[in-house]
Amino acid sequence: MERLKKRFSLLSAIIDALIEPPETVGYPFTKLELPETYRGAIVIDPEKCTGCGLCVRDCPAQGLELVKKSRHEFKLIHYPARCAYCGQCSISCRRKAISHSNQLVGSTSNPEALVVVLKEKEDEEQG
Amino acid sequence: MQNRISIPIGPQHPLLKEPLSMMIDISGEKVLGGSMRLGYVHRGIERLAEQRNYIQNVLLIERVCGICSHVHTTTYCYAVEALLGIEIPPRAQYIRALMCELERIHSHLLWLGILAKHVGLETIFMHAWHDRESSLDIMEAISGGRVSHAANQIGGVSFNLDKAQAEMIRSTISNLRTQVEGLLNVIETEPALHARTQGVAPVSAEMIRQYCVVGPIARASGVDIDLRRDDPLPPYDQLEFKVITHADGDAWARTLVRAQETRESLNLCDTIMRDMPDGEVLVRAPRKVPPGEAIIRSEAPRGEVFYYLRSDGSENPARVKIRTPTLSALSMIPAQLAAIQVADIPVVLAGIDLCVACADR
Amino acid sequence: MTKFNLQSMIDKIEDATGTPGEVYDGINNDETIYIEPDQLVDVINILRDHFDCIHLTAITAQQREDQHDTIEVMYHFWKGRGITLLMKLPTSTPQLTSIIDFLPGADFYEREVAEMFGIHYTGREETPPLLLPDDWQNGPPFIGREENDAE
Repeated sequence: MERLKKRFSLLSAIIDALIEPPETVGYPFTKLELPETYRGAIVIDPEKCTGCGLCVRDCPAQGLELVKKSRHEFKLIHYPARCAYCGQCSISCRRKAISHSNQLVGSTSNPEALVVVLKEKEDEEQG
Repeated sequence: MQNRISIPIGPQHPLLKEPLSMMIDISGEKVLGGSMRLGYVHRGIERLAEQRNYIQNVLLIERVCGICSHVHTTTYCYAVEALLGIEIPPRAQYIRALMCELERIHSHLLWLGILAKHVGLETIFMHAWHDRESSLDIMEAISGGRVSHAANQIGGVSFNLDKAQAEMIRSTISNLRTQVEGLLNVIETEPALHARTQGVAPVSAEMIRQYCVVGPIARASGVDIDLRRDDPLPPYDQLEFKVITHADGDAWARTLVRAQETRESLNLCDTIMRDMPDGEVLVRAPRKVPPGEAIIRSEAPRGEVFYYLRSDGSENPARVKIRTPTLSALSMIPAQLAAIQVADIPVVLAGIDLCVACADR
Repeated sequence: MTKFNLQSMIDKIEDATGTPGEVYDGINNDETIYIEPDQLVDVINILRDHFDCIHLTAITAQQREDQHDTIEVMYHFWKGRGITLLMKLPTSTPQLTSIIDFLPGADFYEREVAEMFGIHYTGREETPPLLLPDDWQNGPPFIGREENDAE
């Protein structure tokens, strides 16, 4: 009776394995379903960013850089290859300007994609 | 008398997940002893931590180990919070404990797959790693990353759980429990696994104490230590769970301890989700830490993790000392190798559950 | 075996070696006793014989920024609660007695502290490098920090 039960349990395992769909997806031919909270590419809301530099100070991977030309002119640069996608910049930002989308960051053969200017603010007063 | 030859294992070898160099002396089929060299993954994290501020260090410390990353950052954050004199909200404590238990589940299922693969039962390996994906899916859905969670901040955690996520966690844990019970049933009744692990490399409780070994290896030899019960970080002082020990000390006891701990961790996850209080999850912490020294210990999947932190009043720590559990388990390997057969070497290595990145830092 | 009691520990150290240890309360969570380096083996024997405390968690060494002529070494034990032994060694000749004869688990800890801080252990054969590569030529990485950081 025990041997019969054991053989029966093996049969149910075999049927399960035949019926279940595969666990893997055929990326990149199939679209990848990522959860909303997935920490993907960095995006910025330019209206909210004031160039304070808190995100730069707390980034552990030196993935952000703030270039200040004068008191009102600055450029915030992001390096996707150095970034660790940890989310520390979005937590340190007091104005919730910088955050993650859930887009997967793919590899690229274009070297210019490795330097992304997130916000550039020119001086509005002339003369 | 057959000739005595030395076989090198490592630094790169199919048996090892991480680089480790061993030289094993054998004579025929009997192993006579061995020696070992660490340091292939040494990154100097203790030294690097002195050159970064406390917030950057949370993410540096996470990269000490890939499998037990959350427990390292949890211990470090509790140490910094002890120096700052702040207490984090209760909901954050529960979320930290939830991630710790999920990490224990994923680590033990990973270990189960490795042991089964080394013994030759590859189907158990496939099933265990398939079930492990469920726990990684939970961690990805709530924190944003499968392995690098970045869950901890100084002052709390970086995410909150809403009702939909809580429901998803409960249902996934319930499915995972069914799968894990099936795996436990197979382990406890599979004769091939018994034959390969029973009586292999027994370790006495006295040897455990002399080599200062911690974690499931110690509990498998009857030494009853578990820092979740003996020196609990909040909220473990309010949670009920069983500490699993076995007395034999051989590879079979080590297998049973880890497998049954997975079941206890699943129960703990349910308890944590049931008792989680409401509230906020992050309090703002000052950037400069007042001078002082703190020591915090916690229980990683492999044993005791110890952090000593000293601050000198600036934004960077003055000294971070990390002690990881695998370091003492590695020092016991030459003694364990002294009386086994060559075919038992993978079983002994798998029973220790090596995490060389932890040991090297 | 009695439960660990700080005052009784200090009394026993005085009985065994003549000088009592001092209580140091700078570290939260651990009972810390400041002892002389040559009292180390006696104190560890007292911990083992009277309090059944033999679990050595770690050996920490550090150099404070304002005291470059001293290396502090701490031995962290655990028995129900943390017990730490604190010693100060001169940077020019840091020397300690090895305890691997009766506590083999201390081998890796001693080797790491020896290579990182240049501490010399008597009573054992040489301390081969544990984490640093075999051809490391730059001396103990934690000593002479300011020059190293500037690079």
